Amino acid sequence: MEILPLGDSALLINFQQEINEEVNGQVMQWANLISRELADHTTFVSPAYCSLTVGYKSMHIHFEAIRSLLFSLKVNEFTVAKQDRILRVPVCYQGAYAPDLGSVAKMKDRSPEEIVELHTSKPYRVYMLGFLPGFVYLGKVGEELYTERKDLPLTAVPAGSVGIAGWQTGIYPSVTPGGWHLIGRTPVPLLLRDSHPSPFRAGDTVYFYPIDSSQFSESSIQYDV
Amino acid sequence: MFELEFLKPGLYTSLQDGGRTKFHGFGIPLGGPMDRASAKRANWLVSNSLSDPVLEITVMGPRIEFNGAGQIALTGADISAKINNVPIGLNESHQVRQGDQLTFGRLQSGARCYLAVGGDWQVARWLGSASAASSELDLLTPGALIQKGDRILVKPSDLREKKALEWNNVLSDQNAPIRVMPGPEMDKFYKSIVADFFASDHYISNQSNRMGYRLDSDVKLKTDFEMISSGTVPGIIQGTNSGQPIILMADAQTAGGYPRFGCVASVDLDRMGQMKPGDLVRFELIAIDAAQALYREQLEMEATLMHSRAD
Repeated sequence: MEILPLGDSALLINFQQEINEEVNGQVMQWANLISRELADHTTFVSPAYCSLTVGYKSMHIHFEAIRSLLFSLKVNEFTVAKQDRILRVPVCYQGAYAPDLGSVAKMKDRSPEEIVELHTSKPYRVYMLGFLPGFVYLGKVGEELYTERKDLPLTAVPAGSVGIAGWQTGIYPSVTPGGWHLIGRTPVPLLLRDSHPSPFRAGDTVYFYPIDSSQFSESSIQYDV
Repeated sequence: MFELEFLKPGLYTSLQDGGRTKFHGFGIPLGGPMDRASAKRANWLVSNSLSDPVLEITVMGPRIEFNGAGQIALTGADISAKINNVPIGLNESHQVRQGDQLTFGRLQSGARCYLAVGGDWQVARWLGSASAASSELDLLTPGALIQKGDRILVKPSDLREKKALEWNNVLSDQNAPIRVMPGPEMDKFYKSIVADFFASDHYISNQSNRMGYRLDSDVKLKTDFEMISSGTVPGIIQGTNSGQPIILMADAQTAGGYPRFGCVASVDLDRMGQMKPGDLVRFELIAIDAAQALYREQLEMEATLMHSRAD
């Protein structure tokens, strides 16, 4: 674990620089620990794949002082309770909701049904949120679904689009340019006017389940806590 | 009630307040004014809380008609503001009456002017902030990006103390170098690139906005280092695939995969926020201890100035 300044009002905690559940689990443990123990000093605690960004009140505490506090937390590392949530997210993999399903199937020499089966048969971890407000980075997809990004990014990906790229799958929360292969769309709102702006949290487990286009408007996320 | 009616919206006029500092982990930009100190001063001049909403007016100002009587103040960029065609000063409060019109003219200095209005703004808030959301704006913060014909209501405060600040304007040292701390990946760049970056003239590119500034210069901030997406904050200077440096600003995304070369010291971020396309910028290395000390000094000076005179 390495603690570096990220400007004068935030710091970066780097873990082993690789994408896997074990390292991301450590990131989440530290995020929870810091949120709980250092709330008086911090402005935000923001997990990524294998790093953690912590904003702090530099008016009141120097970098070296908060770094020492962080290292002193280490003894408590394993006292943090895990907060596992499982979310089942409806996705329509049909017609206009799935503009790239056909090309992905062709690329992978499989039927569209098999691609849907592969995408829905596996749990994904929410490694982080970022890129856009509420964008979830989910991983990892199975080897059979690994794809390079599209050569030509789409200028306006519709909100709710479910994409795959590399080992990742993700959901576009709002209209934006994007280069992922769009294999489906979820009807659930992904940016909320609530005090909790996203249905997802880093560390969640997500399953996708297929819905028919006729059920599109009435489907919602199911939570198994 | 006191109403602002926008007869013209200006180039880019948005509501800004303290921003959404706690939601970085949901990918939500911190937001808030590009020049925080100026926004605070504007609010102080009209006896508001310092993190109340203000209008951030960019380069070309709106045309506003006031319905009712109230108190306003302007700070930051000088865009030749006038009330009923009579020039008005920055950094002082002004009383306006029913039917008065606030207009702007030529940009004289800076890029962003802040308009504060004394009282309680009746505007949409998302996650505790009135700042214009960087995506899904119409859903999340309707009305926060000013369009022609918009109206904003402010419940005016009873306090109408006339105030002025003798402010040593940040714009006066606009030509001083912007101080930059090393970023987590600075050591992934060749030493010669680091040296060139700090020795060169850079210009703010046309492709610059509240999310970030691209820099035009001869320096290519390029490295072969492949990094895994990680957190970013306003002020971070990224190297991109093409080598064109990007400085992340108030509405920047919260994570990115570009190497973080450096980070602009908070004490200089407001000055950065007052830059516009075509402006020359030079950079100077600063250590984190020095940057933190300068920032604290700036905040303490602001507090002294605004509290002592507020009594």
